[in-house]
Amino acid sequence: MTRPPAVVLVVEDETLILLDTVDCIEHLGHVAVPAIDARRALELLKRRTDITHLFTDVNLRCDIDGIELAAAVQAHWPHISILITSGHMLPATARLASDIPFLPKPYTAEQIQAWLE
Amino acid sequence: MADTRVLFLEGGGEMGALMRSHDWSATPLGSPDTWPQSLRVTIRLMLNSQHPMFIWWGPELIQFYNDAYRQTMGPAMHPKALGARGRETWEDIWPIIGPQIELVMSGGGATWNVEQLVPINRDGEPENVWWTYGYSPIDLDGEIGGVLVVCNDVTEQHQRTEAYKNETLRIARQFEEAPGFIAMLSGPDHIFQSANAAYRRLVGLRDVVGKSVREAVPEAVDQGFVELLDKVYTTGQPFVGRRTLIRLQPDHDSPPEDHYLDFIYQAVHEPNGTISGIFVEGQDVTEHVLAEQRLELVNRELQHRVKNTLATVQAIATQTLRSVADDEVMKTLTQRIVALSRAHDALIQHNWTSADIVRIVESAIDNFGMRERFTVTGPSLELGPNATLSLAMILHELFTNAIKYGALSAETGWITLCWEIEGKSAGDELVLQWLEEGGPEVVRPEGGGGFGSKLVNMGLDGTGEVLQSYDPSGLRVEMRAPVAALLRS
Repeated sequence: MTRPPAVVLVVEDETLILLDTVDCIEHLGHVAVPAIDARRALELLKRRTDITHLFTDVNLRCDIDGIELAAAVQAHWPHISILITSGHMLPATARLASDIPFLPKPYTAEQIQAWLE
Repeated sequence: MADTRVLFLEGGGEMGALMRSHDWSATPLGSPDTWPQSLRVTIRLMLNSQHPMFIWWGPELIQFYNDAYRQTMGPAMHPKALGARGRETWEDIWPIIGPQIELVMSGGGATWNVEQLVPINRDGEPENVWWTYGYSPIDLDGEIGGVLVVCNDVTEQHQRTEAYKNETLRIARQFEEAPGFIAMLSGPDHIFQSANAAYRRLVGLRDVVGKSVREAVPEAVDQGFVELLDKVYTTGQPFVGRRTLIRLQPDHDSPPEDHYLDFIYQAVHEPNGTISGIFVEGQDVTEHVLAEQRLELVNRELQHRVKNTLATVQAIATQTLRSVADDEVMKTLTQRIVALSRAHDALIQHNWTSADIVRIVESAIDNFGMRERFTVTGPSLELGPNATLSLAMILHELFTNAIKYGALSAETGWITLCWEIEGKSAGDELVLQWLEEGGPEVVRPEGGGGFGSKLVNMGLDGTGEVLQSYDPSGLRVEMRAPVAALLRS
């Protein structure tokens, strides 16, 4: 890998999926930063300046959902690439900004890899 | 009878004969040839009429009647009543008829009764008969000599009128109690002529009859309903609303209520073709629509749960196997779980009951992203949930195999995926073919094959109707299954 590794903020409220996604990203040679909900994700974004990618679920058992988190990241950290995932299909996620890619659950390592490269 | 002075008693059937043979000299009237002219005229008229007629004559009210009247009398009265005194014959009802007779006799004029029920024994059987009858004075030298009763049996007319009234009431009651709402509007301002109970309940028990729609249901104006009525009134074209939302507010203090309605506005045409009003009829389907919305919500949640659960299973599997399995195994596993998940996407479109084969095939091709290497032909066909999952997984295995070893492993290979429905005596059969061409030379795999080839060999409905031929030019797979079984499973 010639490019520097990506630093991916992974936001997912299902612990097992969070664990596996972090594992998968690290296995691909990147850095994964886990967050169990959007509030923690925003704290991490304020503290760390090295985050390059956001990978977030939509339903987060928190007052801010993944779509609102993505909108906040687009507004304050426009350099961060975003990917949204959900068990819901479109159009349940129709609120999604059209320029943000969507990946239905479950997903494969290859799909994450394709997004990161 | 040679005596011309009693010619007025000629004819008259049974009553004429009885009159002629009666011993009148024993009555206060004396012999008929001495009777006054006005009585003779009246008796002749009576005897020769088919209308039931009856005469009371003189201060004693001596009685005469014709055959038609005789039909109304029981054996207790006839023939005793002929020539008898009125008060003796009619003792039972004298309090009713006495004053009427007295009124006519004293110069008070005539009486007139319309459609009165007077039960009679016509042929020995009690019978309800309705009469229209009158008592009229008979002249005697400028005084009143007697009373003529002319009756008309109006039972048939009465029964027709009653039947009509009852029918009208019955229709009105059906209209009122109909489960759907019904209203009749008249004129260009859509004035309520009537509105049944269901309609009044819908609009919150408002008093609408006699008012225009604009006046009675003002909130309907901004929601476009009056505009619709105007259009129906001008064009005569009916308007059919399906699951149409209307917000109703019975009064200022109550909160507005949302209702979903299935309804029709139908123009009412007069015999000359002009439109005189609009017939409004419909059902409040709010409960129905809300139930559908709840089902939709549950469905979405279920879909979310299924896919999240599959994602969790995938996470558990990869975490469990990561230390012992190589990347290739992990990849195969996760791809299979993703394929299973995508098959569920196709199913949710039809509330988990079925999916279209076209959609399953398109979804599989999209997943692998090599559309230009495919020729796909085949008609739409609904598959049941099990057949949907089978087909999706089989296609996944065929794809994976083609990418690794088959037509898709070479730059130039392509795949023809086609299916058709063949009519068989035992019912229609689906025949699906997967044909690879342009790939490397095909070699039959060693041994019994892995999970993928086992799955393919199970076929679409698990019965193993599968032909795999390792033709050197490319793999050919043909699968068959009865259409009925595919929809059920």
